[in-house]
Amino acid sequence: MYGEASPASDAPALPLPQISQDYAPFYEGVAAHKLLVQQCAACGTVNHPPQVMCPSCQGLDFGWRESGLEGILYSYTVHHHPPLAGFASPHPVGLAEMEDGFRLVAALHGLEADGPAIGMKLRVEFFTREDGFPLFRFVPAAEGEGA
Amino acid sequence: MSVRDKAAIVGLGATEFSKNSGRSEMRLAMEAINAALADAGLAPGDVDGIVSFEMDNNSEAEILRNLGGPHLRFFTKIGFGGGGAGGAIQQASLAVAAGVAETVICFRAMNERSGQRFGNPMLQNQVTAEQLLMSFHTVHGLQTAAAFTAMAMRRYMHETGATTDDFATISIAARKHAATNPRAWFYGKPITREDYHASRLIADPLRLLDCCQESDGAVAVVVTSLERAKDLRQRPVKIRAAAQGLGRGTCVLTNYYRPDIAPRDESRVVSEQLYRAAGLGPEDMDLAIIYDHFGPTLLPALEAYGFCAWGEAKDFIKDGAIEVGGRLPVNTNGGQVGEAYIHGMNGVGEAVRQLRGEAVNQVAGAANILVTAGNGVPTSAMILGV
Repeated sequence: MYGEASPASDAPALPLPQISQDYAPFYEGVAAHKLLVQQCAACGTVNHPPQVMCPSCQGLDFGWRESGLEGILYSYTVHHHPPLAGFASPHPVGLAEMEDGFRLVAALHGLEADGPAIGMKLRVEFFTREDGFPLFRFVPAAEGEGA
Repeated sequence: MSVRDKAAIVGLGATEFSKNSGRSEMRLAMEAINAALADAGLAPGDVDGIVSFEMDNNSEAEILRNLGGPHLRFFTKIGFGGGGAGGAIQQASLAVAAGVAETVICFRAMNERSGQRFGNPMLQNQVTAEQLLMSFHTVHGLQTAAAFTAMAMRRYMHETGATTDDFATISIAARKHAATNPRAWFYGKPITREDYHASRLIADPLRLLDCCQESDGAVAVVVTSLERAKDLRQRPVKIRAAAQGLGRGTCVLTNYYRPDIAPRDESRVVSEQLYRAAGLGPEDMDLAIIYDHFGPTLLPALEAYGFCAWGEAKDFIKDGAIEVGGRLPVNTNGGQVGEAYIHGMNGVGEAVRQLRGEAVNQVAGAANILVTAGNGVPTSAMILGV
């Protein structure tokens, strides 16, 4: 149902995220094939996306906890128009409720022909883009797996 | 201090709405401002305050240079794009009520179709707090306002049972109103349910006919004290209340990390303030102008502004309820889907015309109107009345 992006030779530049000090550990985790989630050192509250202050106790010190890779599709969209540089069209993107209790956005990859469905089991898959940037996407979790 | 009915809209001006204005945004701004002043019976030199949108490219300094007035004493801009119209009117009413300024222009002028198009992928290079979060999503190919909103509305459908046929009802109503409004881009062009379902997907579940237009144009209003308004040319449109709102977990268009991801929470913050400040309830509204960057977002907005309970908007809109003649006519100008997309300021204009009794799709005896700004972003709204 969803094609592959065009080959690198004629592909336009893919978007890069902006990475501040506050987001860097998350992306460093992705490069190491780990899904890291920010956790307040004082009270243990989990924040995702990253924050600079814990909304529960106003702490400024955080650790980064490795999270499980399984999730359930909470919502999705399939982008059709306008064309997105570096992405096939149509392009499905999901929002998953992860097993460790936070939500995560990523592209949906390797779906069956009937497309995404809320409630389907997903797994985070790390991959390296054609431009060398390490990223992750959701793939359907195999039968018998799952959160 | 209550500012209820302390300030009023006394002038309205606008350019034509098009896809290519053929002139600069500054020129559009000055045409609309000049028309609003003429409508009010005021002179350019009377203007001492200006409120616009952060996204507006025109500067107050250039406006004053063009107006030829002696001075400005108050000028500010509201953030978050389409969330701003109620904030602009609120700033003007506060300034007037506090005596900081006497004659304040609120305007939005843009060549959004022929110039910078807001429907494009949101890829920017400035490192800002907002862009850090935006790029956290855009890197995955989630890049447009339509796609951000589609994600929220898909979940809304799942939770409430709303369908794309309900979305069609909203689009059909907007185009029906636009069809009899000569100012509307889609004047004379109503759509059928079949047209809706045949229109192409933009970001599933949103189709082309769910999306607001991309427009060139400008709208300006003049705000002054109610006391002074009584001596001016037009019937004063009172600012009963105006409020801004941001909720816990609000992220710009991507409210995905709070319990309810529908574009509803920040509107509820506004709604509670508005009705309390105005001493009115949703049942007192004769019609509503509800921001339709994407028509389906009317559903959570109707719930947030108290017209129906959570999840019941899909039933509320049935049987012509949001058309003129229905129990709550909505977007009688055709909205931003049917008339034009001027960041909600054209909706303020429609409310003014309705309250003066001059609208093309007039609601008889309209005395109180809710006008909202965009939901899913830090937002605002107002209640206007006569």
